[in-house]
Amino acid sequence: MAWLDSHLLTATVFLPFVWSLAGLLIPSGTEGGKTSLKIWALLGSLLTLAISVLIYQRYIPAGPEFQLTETVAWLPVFGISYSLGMDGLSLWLIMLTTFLMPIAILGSFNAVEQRLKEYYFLLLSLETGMIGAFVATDLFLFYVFWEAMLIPMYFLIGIWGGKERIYATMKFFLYTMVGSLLMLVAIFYLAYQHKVQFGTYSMQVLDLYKLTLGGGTFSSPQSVMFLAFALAFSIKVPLFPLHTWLPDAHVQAPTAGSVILAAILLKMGGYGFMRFAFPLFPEGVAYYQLTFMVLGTIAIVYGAWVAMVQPDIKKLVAYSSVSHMGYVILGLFSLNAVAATGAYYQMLNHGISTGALFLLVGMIYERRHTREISHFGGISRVMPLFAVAFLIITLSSVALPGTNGFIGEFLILLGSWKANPVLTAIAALGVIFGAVYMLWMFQRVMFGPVTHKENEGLKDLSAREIAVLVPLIIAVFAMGIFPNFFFQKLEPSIERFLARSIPGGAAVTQVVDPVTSSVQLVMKGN
Amino acid sequence: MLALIALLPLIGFAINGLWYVAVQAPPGGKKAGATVSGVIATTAIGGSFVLSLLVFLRLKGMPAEARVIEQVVFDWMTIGDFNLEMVFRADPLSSIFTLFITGVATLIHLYSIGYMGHDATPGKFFAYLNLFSFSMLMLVLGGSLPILFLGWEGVGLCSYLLIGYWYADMDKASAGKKAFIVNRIGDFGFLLGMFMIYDKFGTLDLLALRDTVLQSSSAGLLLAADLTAITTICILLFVGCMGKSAQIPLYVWLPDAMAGPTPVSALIHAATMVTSGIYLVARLNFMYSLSPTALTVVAVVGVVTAFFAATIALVQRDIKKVLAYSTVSQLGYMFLGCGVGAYSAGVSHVITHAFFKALLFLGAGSVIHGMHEEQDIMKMGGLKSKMKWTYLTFAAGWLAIAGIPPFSGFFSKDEILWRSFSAEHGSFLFWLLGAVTAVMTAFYMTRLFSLTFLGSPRFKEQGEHHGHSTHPDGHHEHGHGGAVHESPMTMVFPLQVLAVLSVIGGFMAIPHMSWLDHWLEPVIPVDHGVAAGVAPAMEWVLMALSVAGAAAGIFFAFKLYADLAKVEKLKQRWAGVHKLLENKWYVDELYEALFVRPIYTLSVALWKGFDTAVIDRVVLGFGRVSEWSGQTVRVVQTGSIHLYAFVLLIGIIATAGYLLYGLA
Amino acid sequence: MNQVEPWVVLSFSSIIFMIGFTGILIRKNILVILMCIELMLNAVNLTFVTYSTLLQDMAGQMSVFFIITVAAAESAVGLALVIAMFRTLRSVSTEEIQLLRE
Repeated sequence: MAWLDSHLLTATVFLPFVWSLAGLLIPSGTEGGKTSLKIWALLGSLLTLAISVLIYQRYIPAGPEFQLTETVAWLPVFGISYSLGMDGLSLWLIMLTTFLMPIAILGSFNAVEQRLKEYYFLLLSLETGMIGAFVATDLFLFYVFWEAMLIPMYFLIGIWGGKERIYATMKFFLYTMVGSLLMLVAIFYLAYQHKVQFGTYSMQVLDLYKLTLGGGTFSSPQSVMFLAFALAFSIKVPLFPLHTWLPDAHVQAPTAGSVILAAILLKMGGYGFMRFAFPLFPEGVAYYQLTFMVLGTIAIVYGAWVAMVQPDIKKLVAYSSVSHMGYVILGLFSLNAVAATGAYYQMLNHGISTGALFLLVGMIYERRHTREISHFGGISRVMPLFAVAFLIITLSSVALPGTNGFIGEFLILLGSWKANPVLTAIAALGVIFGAVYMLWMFQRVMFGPVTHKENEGLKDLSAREIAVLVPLIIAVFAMGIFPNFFFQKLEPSIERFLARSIPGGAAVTQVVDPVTSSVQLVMKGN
Repeated sequence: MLALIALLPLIGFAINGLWYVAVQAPPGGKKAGATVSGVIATTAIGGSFVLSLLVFLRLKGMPAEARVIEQVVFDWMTIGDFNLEMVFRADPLSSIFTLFITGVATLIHLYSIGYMGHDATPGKFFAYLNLFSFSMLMLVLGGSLPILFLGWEGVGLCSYLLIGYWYADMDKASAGKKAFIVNRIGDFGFLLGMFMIYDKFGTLDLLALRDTVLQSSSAGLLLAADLTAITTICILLFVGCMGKSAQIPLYVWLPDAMAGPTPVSALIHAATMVTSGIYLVARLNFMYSLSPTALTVVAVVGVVTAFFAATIALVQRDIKKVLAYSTVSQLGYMFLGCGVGAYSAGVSHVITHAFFKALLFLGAGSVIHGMHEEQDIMKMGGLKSKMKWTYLTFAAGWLAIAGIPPFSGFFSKDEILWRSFSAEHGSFLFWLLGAVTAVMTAFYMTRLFSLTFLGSPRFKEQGEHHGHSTHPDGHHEHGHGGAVHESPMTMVFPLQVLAVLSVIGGFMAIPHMSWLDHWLEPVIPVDHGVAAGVAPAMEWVLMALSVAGAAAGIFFAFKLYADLAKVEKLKQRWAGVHKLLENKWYVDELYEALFVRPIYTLSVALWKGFDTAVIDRVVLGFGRVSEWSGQTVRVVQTGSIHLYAFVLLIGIIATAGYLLYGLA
Repeated sequence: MNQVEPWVVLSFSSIIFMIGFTGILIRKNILVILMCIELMLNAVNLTFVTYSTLLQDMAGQMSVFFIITVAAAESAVGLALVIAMFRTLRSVSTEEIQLLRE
């Protein structure tokens, strides 16, 4: 126990991997073996969830910036070390990962029937990669986890994917590799700069935050480096126009792959922006602020429009991700506490609701082996429980107040209004189109008479599927009604993030409208 | 206690909803009658009514200026200095709204027990109704704009679910979706308005906002730019009201919303939800009063909507469609009232309208129920003798909406008309359009009444109306034969109560001694100012004129619809106009051509023409380049180990040579 | 005791090395190529030992042990691969096995 206490993060990161290695020893030839393999994987992910609850418990918002830290020298000559640590920004994304992993595993119990051993091994090692990226405080280590994540994902899509999986994996790889290589170059540049300015190489974020780099022009180091980081993260988010890998990857990936990809991998981009790109290059952010806000806004509307006309449910959900993640970018680049908190919250929301949507699509795909919207219709009558779950998740995706989606979008837009009212007004159009594409899809799938007779005999949700969906539905409402529970552990980290990301520091966080201040003066006078 | 008012229906929703999910929905689930679900739901909302009454009495016991009860349930969102509490607040305005909402809702819940008696999933229906009541109460009790918005969207959701309740019919499902989306367009305005308020005044709490605005305005701190901002805010929020309260140009969803079960139309689309726009304007009267421009917009939209919708109502054949357009028209009146600064007149019309329009819808529901899902008034007639109670109560509603004294509609409508003429922001044109609308209202309501209840039956009894039951499972809704029959007691009783209220409801707002004005005074300042050059005696003249107009409308309608052949002839003569009105001025078609089609086409173009054709081509271009360079370089990969080894040898020799002797 | 002159040993090892290398270049049989590699490794070992005595440095001897172990492992793996290859492709000739080219 003592070891666990001092190595909580290491334990969380590597538990899934070690567990899955042990799982390789389970003979999986027989039916019984297959079942035990599934249960083994589920247990592993549940155990990780249990440990991550410990992390939640240990984290003290008022405490030092990084907590539960561990540092072991790795390549000291180049300032590379194995160092882990977490703050509020890491916390909820770790929780999201560990929360969704058992759900994704349980959700794909019946979806995958071949090469089970490899499948669960890859899923669990993917979890290691993801959690690792969220807790790495060394840039090089972060990069290692970042790339390590790709490999399991590549195989998950490539082996268990749909008909055009090879095309999808190639596209996925092309995009992500191009982005991350430039980031690697930027990382080395930073380490080198540290040597120039402080005499030693270092890849620790806390050290690198202290660098002074020129900024303000197109070719200044801050702008260039920011762009190198931003490219990698924007591809992951994915930001318009770098989003076209997403629909293909989502459509081809197996259910659990889509869930993880949408719910967590995309968050890597937003997290990267918040942890690295923004605080490291505040002037780069300032230089590109408007550009990215515009791109975010385009993503919101564009994603919604294109989602509207998709014939395939999964593709529709994929494009809706583009739209939803556009909000994240808009919120982050607004550079104020309300919008940044909203953006972070939106990432969690998107994880929950899009993850759930992919699970639901997976459930109906297992029954009908099609995802074409036109092959459905009237499902509500055949599968009433499925319809209820689908409705709730749809509403969460539409950002109905009372569900999680609302809190995120509301805060983002409220905050971004201060930064740029015009873009906010355009972005708020997403509120309308979001309702259009989701409800239209819902109507075509769920309502009307049953037009295809194959749909007549569909079975409603099984107990396992209900067990998969109920935690998600609870999360949807809990996050919509008690956001403060999440904000409490987040707030100091958001403040630090803003203080570093705004050139000149925290002094300018609150831009006060002159009229308001005079009005408020009057108020105080009374 | 305040939170409990809203919470009771939520508990009812939870019970009925869980029961539906756990017992009714699963395959082979039990089909239960409406009674148990109905009783649960009615008890829940009835409890809210009792609590609202208690709150009302407690407020009444307080001194006028201190009439606010507040309850903070928990902190909703806190980020730095941005703080939103889940706060409920009852003041005279919200208490009067809660009172009539819970009252009417209780009656309609009761009515639904009878109306939905043969439904397949009553648990779901009553769960939705309760959820609606909860949201509506959040809307009026919410102490800050986001909470109000929570209710605002919540009622929109329930409206969506209930309009599309019989989802097996794709048209009904589409109507629900249309309602939700059009409302979303309004919400877009609402959201932006909220952002701007927060940006300008630093708070979203309604009470704090009111204090800030009033104090800075009385201190003369509001500059021209601020007033412009206030105008923008007011108009943006009014866009929200246009959506929710079905005003031009966003009214198109309400007539389609009649696809829902009739109690839903009565509760949501007549009595409560659609009036939330008026509630919002009345609630923010301190801001609207600062902006003459915004007020004018409200008044013009209101009066034009009132007139426009009334013209359409003249020729509709579906009993519910007539009532729907009449609702749109009456909502226009209410906004006209608000727009000329007579907020309390608007509110009083909200309340009387809730009584008589709920009554009319429920009466229509009773007719439809009795006629086995027939809604075409041309196929009715002579129901007077067959449905005595429905007939009598419907008559009360008809006279109330037609504006015949002393029925409730007369007082509230007349006050609005008078104020639209006499108030500072009023004008003769407002009055004229309003009065013409009043005549048309009297005409089309009489037409409806006469075609439904009077004359001789234009339908065959026994089995004639059986085949086209629209309920989802397609089974016959009624076991007993096709005879037209009076509705059960659970349906008639609410009709009777509402009829009484429609008759006497107006007395709470008699002009010049209005109890309502007085009660609302802490929230809405009373202003009986008359614009310069308007003689007080005009009030009596105009009143006489509008009563005469209403009477004339009724008279002509009776005369005309006593002989349907004459109507047919008239229709032939005015075929063009009739067609235009019957097709609702082709507004739906116009929107389809202007917005729906272009956006759809554009979206497809973006997807195929940009996503696939441009971005993907660039990305795959990278792939092509790598592939091509690989192909070019692979020539040296012969696969022969010996060659590789030989090249290695040469390399080693060259390297060694270089290291030993340099290049020289 | 007669010490062998260092140059004799070094020439000897060079010759063995070259024999091995030539073998790799000209023989087609993978088995023989593997043996040639062993030959080259041992030639290097000899050089190491020679210099080790010459320079009185034990590091050379150490390297030899390393190389011997690694060579043993390498030939084990290599032979296993050759056997597996022969089973599937029915040949151990480098002429016939040029899969990388495809």
